[in-house]
Amino acid sequence: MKRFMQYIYLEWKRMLTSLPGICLASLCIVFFVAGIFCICHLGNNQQEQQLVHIGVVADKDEPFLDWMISMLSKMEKTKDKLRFKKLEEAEADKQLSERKINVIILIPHHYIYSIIKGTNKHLTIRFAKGETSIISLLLSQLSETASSLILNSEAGIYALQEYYQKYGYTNMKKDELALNLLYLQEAAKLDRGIKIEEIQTQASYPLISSYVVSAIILLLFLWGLTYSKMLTSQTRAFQNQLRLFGLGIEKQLLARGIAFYGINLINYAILVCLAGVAMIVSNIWLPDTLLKNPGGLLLFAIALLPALLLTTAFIQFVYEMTEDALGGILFLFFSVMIMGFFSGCFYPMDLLPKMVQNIGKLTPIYQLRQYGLSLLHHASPIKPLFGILLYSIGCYAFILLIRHIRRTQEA
Amino acid sequence: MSPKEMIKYELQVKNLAKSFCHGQKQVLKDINLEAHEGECIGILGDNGCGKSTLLSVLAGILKPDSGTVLWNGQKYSCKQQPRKHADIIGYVPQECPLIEELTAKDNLKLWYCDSPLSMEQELSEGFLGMLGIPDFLNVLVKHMSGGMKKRLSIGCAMAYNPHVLLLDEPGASLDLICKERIEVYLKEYKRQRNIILLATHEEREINLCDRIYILKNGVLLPFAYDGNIHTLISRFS
Repeated sequence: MKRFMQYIYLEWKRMLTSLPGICLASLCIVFFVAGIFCICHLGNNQQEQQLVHIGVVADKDEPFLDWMISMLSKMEKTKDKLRFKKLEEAEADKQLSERKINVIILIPHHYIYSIIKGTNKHLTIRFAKGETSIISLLLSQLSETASSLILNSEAGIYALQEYYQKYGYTNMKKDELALNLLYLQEAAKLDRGIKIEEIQTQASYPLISSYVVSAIILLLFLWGLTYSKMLTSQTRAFQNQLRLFGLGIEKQLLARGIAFYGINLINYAILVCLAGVAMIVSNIWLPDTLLKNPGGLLLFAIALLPALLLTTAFIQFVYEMTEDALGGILFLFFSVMIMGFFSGCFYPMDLLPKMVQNIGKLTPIYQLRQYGLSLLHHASPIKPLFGILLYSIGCYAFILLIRHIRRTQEA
Repeated sequence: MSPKEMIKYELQVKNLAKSFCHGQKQVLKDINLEAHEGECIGILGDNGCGKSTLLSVLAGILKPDSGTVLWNGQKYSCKQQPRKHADIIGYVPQECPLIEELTAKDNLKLWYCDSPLSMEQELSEGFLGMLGIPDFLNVLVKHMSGGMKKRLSIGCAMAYNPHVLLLDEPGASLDLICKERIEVYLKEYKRQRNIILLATHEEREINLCDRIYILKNGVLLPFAYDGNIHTLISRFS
């Protein structure tokens, strides 16, 4: 036991000598990861702004429906940005949950008539939960469109005139004025005229949270690129000597794992401090999440420690497997990038093919993302935590297996 | 004479065999050897003949296919009784068994933390001092010369003051002063009724040995060395 503790201490001391270099390199990786996410996020934003798919749910014989759709589609501000699709409500919900469409507009029975009569039934806009960027985009677009429709277009009035003529109403002039006023009144309180609903989707966390958690997870993995020197295997002679003195392979690995986790903790603490300072100075927080204030950041950082366990185990596994610094770096970088892509770090998973999604769900990065997101949104992290522990044990089991196979081959 | 001094130490190797590649490459065949206290035994042979394999098996690193290694008539195992094993065998491999990024002192601490010997005492007046380790105690291993590393390796292997020292080419590519220091130490170690098994190619080290064995084609054969190196060379050819 004494030698085991001494070995942990010496491994830790050995790794500590590389810490300044690691911190410096970690900062570079922070910028690298931030750069990747800026590119991905900008790419996604452009994609979102280019095209928004809207499902329209209304009765088949709903008057003025096609007129309204063609009107909105041809508006200068929404031209080439909105795509309307008439759907049944159930089908629309299904497509929304699968994110094939971005929003549903539910038009009540005889919507226009209700406005004319002044009863003003509510228009319902249904979003996928967590679609914050789409919400803000669409609301602004629709508000502008509605304003344009009411304030600049007389087409509505012509349509009303047509309606009055069709049914032979006589007090058209008087009502026209009253209806114009009603229109303006409704336009002014448009926010109360539209009811907003959310439905549960497959990935129900906001994209911004998803990106933040993905960036943290990728960072924890890519840190491993800086640990190449300290994690390459000890010489076989040294390993054998430890065995002769009673420290078997399992204990050697455990000691190394503990020492490495300790070093990782220091690096992690430095990063949390830097992130805290940056967030306090810039006053950028994520409302409605755990990261809403400095205390929340601290809690989140502590709760994320099991994630550090898995990344530590994975990094150790990579260097143990490759037995070479450069090989380890290359393997770690590409494996993390591929796993990150499959598990939806760079693009929402729903946009990926079904097969890729299924593979992605098997990766440790997916478990870590789910864990981080559930912590961030006060959901239960038990299931992903279980996955994390399972993967960590798996990594250490693989390391043991590798050493055992190598020893058997040598013998 | 104390009871401990009355015990006659003896290392016995009986019918030892070792092969690699699932028995396809037979490296050691029916090795028999006896070493008594105060003896230095030299094992000679061509490169790759199996000298290091033999020492690894004796040290307990490699498992033999068959045969037994006995210390005073009893089996020993580093896995089951690491402490007892460390009391019996000290092994200095050919490669450097040290942590390169740490100092000599840190490396010694790892092996002496649980030792009955006091590291400080050994450094000041014991065999660590004799090996000249205090001269480079605070030097990082990666900055050390080959000779310093070898002396430190011997110092680490001696942490439990074992009765048998297995040395795998200790003098290879070392300067004369280093060789001299190691030789002086080995003579002293032998004088204290301990056993040395030495795999070597060096003439100076061969002269240190009481008995010589030649390992050829997996078979260990005794050789009566008369101090004439040419006779020895002719035996190899």
